[in-house]
Amino acid sequence: MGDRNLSPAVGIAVGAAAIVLAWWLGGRWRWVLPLGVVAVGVVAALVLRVPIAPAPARMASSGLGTLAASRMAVGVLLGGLGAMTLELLVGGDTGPGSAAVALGLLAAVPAGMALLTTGMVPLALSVGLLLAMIWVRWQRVAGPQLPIRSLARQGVLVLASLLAAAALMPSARLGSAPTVLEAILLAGGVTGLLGVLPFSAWVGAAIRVGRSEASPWRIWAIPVGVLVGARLVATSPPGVALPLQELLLALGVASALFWGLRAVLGPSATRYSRVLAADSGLVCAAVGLGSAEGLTAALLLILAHWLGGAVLGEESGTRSQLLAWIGLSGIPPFGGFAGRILIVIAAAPVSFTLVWLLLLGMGLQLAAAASGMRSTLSSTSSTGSWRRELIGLVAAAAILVLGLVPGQALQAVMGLHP
Amino acid sequence: MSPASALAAAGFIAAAVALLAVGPTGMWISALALGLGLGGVAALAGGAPSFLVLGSVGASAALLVAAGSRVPGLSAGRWLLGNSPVVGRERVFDIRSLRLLLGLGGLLAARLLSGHLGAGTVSTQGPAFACLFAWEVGAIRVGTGRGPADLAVGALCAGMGSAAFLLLSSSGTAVGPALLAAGLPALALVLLARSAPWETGT
Repeated sequence: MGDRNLSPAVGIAVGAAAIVLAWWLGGRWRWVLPLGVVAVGVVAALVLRVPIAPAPARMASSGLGTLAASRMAVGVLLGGLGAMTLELLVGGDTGPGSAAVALGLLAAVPAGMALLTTGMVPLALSVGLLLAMIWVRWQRVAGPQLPIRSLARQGVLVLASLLAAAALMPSARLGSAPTVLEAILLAGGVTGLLGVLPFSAWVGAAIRVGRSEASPWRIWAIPVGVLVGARLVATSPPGVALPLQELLLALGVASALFWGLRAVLGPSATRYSRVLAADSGLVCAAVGLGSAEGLTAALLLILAHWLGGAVLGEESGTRSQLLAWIGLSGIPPFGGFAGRILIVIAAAPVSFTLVWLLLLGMGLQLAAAASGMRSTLSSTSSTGSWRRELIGLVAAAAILVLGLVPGQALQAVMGLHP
Repeated sequence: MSPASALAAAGFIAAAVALLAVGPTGMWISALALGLGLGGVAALAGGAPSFLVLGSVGASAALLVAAGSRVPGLSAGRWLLGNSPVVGRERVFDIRSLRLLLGLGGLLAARLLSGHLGAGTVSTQGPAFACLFAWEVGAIRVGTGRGPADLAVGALCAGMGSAAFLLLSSSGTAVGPALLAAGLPALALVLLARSAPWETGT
């Protein structure tokens, strides 16, 4: 696959055509189209030039590493760009503004670097850049409110944790550094990227910037966090991996319970962000399980939120939104159920208490989704266009397909069988 | 005092300067002190090339931050973050006193941890102590930061501390990662050093 090079002439021609088309179309497309072409071009160049290879046995800490694309990383990159397109199509004129879409597209570049690099320091810096881009945009939108400041602090602490973990890694492999310290630093980086407790500042910030502005977190930060976390668990020496898994499990379950409860008790305008935070806790716990089932469950939940989040990011009161709430609620046979039940199956051999705690978290999310459905039914019908509603319905119905054929869906998008 | 102890002490002093420096002048002083101090620590394993990596990053950042007051294009805070209202806030402790108190706790933690760390073949208790303390100063500055510039200094402390420890561990192969780990936070500091703070100290 390494010999499939993108011709520069083709790239320049496509870019020039996009710019001409963008100026002709005017409005938001003037910015979105060229940036979209740039983002897709960079991702395509990365994907086509970097050979698809198995994940590295170890992350390089004392060198810069190389770029290695796994099929899952490519799936997340292309799926993220698809989710951004869906956001744009469902949102229409009331959806994300051109700057928000531009951020969503440009964020693909640091996200791609984080997914493809095998060097620990480049990974830390890519993740830091991704969080910095989101923070800068949100600060411009909402001003320096307390949650936005907390998000900035969260981003720097994630960067600092991963850099320190990179510095300690050579010593930890020799057994001459406290391996628990290394695990704590890695867990700090992963939980900060996933946005689980104690790094949940993004929830308050996302509520303040509005639903469509908040989409880059759902589309990029959480999926990148899952893949980075899974890679760190798989490539760390056992002395580091075990405490890292335990930390991810504990913080993930605590986060699922806390945000599940907040989603049930909170107002309807903030419900989806809190459900997403609770699911973020579940995927963190799934990564902490360290098994193939856990990773599969996390990826299923990511796919469900890519589809449902675009619909739930819009004004309340549409049929598509009702269907999206059902899809994410955990009711069989929708995608939300498939992801959650797989986490329970993966947790069953670990601990009976863990299974009960996970079931409690899922029950809270079901209750929150039920509240979401009730709010949707009681609110006035949307005045949006029928085309957007139709796209929304197709996206929400795709969550049902995801639940009915999870294996085929994951194979198609991520190259992974459950 | 052996040269190794002197260099480790210089690293610790650099971190202490970064802990207590405030205001626009404090930004470039912190960058310069961190570059020179932790560059000296890194030189214990890698010699002059390691010193040059961190020293040049710190000195360049200091120069650009200091020049930022005269060359408006160097500071991108307003362009990146927009106009932000500055809020006054009553504090029980002055910001420097608060950092000093937290720094004393950090000093104890760094002292306890550094004895358990090993970096390649270097005897690390002193040098690792300086690197750990610089990292902790970064965390303190992030936690108590009153604006984007403080966060950038915090990131620079963490980046420099990590880069110095990497150079101690594997000086031969870690030049690239160390340059990146220190360089990108330094770039962020140059861009954000003149950004409006979120709040004032009074």
